[in-house]
Amino acid sequence: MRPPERFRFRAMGSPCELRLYGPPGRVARAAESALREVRRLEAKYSRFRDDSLTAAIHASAGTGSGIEVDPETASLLDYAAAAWRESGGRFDITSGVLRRAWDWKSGRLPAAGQIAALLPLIGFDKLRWERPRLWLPRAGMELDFGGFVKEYAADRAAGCCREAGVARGLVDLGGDLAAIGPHPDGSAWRVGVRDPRRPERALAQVELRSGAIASSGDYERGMWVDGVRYSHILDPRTGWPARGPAAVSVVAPHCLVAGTATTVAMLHPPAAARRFLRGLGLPHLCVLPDGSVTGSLSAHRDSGSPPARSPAA
Amino acid sequence: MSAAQLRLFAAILAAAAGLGCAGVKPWERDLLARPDMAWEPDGREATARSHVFFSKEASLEGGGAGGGGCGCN
Amino acid sequence: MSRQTRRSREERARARRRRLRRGRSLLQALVGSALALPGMGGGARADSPLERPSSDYSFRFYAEEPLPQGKAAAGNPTRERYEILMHQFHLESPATERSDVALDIVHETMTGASPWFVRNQGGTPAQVMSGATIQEERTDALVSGNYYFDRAKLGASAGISTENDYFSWNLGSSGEMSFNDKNTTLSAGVGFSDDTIEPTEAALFGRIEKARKNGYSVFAGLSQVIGRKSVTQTSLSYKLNDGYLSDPYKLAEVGGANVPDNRPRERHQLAWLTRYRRHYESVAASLHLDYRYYFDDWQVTSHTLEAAWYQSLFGVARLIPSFRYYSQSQAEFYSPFYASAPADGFVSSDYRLSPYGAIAYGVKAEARLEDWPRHWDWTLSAGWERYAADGDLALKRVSVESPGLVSFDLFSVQLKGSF
Repeated sequence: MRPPERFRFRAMGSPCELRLYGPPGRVARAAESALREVRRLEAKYSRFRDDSLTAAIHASAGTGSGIEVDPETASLLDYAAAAWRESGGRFDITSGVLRRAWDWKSGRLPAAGQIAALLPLIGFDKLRWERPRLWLPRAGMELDFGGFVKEYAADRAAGCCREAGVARGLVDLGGDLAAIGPHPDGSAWRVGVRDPRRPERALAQVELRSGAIASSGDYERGMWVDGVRYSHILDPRTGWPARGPAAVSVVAPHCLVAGTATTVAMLHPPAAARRFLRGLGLPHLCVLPDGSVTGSLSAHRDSGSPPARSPAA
Repeated sequence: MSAAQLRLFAAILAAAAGLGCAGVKPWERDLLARPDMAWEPDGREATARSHVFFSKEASLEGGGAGGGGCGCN
Repeated sequence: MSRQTRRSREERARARRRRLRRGRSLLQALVGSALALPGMGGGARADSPLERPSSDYSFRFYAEEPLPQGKAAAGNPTRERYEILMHQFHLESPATERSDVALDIVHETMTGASPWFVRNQGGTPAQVMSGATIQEERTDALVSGNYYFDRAKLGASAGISTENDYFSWNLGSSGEMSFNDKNTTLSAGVGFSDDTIEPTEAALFGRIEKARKNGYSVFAGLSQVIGRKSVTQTSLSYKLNDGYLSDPYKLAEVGGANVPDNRPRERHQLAWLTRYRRHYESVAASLHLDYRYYFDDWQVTSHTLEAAWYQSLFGVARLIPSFRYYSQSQAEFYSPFYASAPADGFVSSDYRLSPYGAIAYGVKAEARLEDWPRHWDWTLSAGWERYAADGDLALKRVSVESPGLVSFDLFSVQLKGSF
């Protein structure tokens, strides 16, 4: 069987790759279309660019006039609202401001009062969202799309490839994977999930024919202070890092949903995270701080081969 | 068909065609997709029973077209 | 077990169920919102091609009750009726990304005697059965396929049927289209059949040597999702039968003498079928309700009401009790016997054109085995249905019921595998 065409690029701060099967012309057109879509989303929701929609939203904070958003952003906001509501506030796209208190490279905890000063700016319920108009009532409030646009982009990229006539392939945006379709012989993509404590090892091999997988782990970013590990995944309700599982991977029909599920799971205490993931009914893997591995995918544990791709941090 | 029967047929058609008023979103179709919610969960049984009743009664089975006859007596 | 342990076990079970409900509601909310995003819900087809091949084999044993002594005419050769052994083989498989195909083969062996004519015994109709035991075999083959679009489906089929004295071929085509977020589906189809009958022992019994008939049918239907748990469908089917429609093996007594069964050479039939399916989550069961109203230009009208309850058990089995009520009026030219020949010459003493009602009830059990040995799923089922026809069961009063009304038992077993 001929190997797929591979397209490597960098987007949304991560190494990305498309693996596509099909006639060369069609594959090239699909890759171009997918790439354009990823770049479009990157530019639109980037918090680093002055001309992005995110910048415009932040500029409108505290002005009282609000900002009218396009249908795609409106649907993303509806999604974020549903996720916020159903996750008990754990998934919250207004929590980006906590970045101002936490400096992961410094090795220092936030100064006294820094978190307390930021908490009034956090809380999805503090927004006024009446489709298609959005109000950020207080100056300094921010919306961070980074927490889910990468997974959404993976789904959109897979969709672009399908629309271009490529029915078999894999989209990998920095460890958030969306399968377009299985290998031409019908076999599934074998995805290695990295062991959080031993990054060169794969914890399990997951088979993906269609659908997507997203992962979250506490090992790549975050910091150690006085012998205590502080995860970079912050709980919007307290402003402090989650004390949850070491890593979570979830398989779902959409990468967007898989990603939200992993984020929410990481914000539960370890035992509660296990129960939450079981209750979801999706195939998943959960690594607890004590090293134990649970979840319906743990049956696919692998011993020793290097991971296909690093999961997103 | 009598007038009463015609009225009943029209009422059922109207109910069945409640376009836009009834219906579910794509993600709400989980129960409807169950095999026991299909029109004919067991195709072979449906074919066999239909054949038996067609042979022993005077009616047309309905629900479709095509399919052969048989010299059943 | 102490009260305390029992209570905490119940509490934990309740908490587990709460978590499952919350987990599923979270998932539903997320997936629901995700599908609303551009390009995320796309690609889902109204109906999709089969994902995997599957095959099933069914065996059925059909046994009619012997003619009751009181209905048999004096000198009737045998009271035995029909027995049929039926084998059905089915194979279906995805073909391309947008299509699937299927093959159906049926083989039947029929033995026994069937009603021949009705004698006027002092004013009371009495049935005379055919003498010699019939031994017949029938083989059917049907190939069919479907092609799927985004919101529509197109299907076609072709089949043949052969018996010692009979040959038939048929063609069919149908399509369906969905609207309204796939909540409303319009379907329609046409069919054609061509039958040739060459009755056995034609010369001996003075039967016609060879005859043909054609069937032209068309149907249209509308189905509508009512809610998460229920769906309904209504459809109209029309069939035109043209050619030799009489039964060459039956006679009618006219003025004391037996003449061949003679029916019009044309028959227009209309059936209106309405179906309803409803799921009951709390008891893990589904209700099936079907009602059919039928009439034709031979003046036969009938009502059929069927109900079945699909009860799921332990997640791997199902128990399905069912009930069927049927009532038909007679064909205009039917009579158990005739004093003199009718003006139009049409005569038939066939019980199938007489007025009567029938009740059938049965039960079927199914058990599933999944993922054995690897990704193969199996279903084994067995069922039984009993049918009894009687003049007293008809909706309209029947003054004289046909002596040839039938009762039967149908036993079935089936093994199905998906690969």
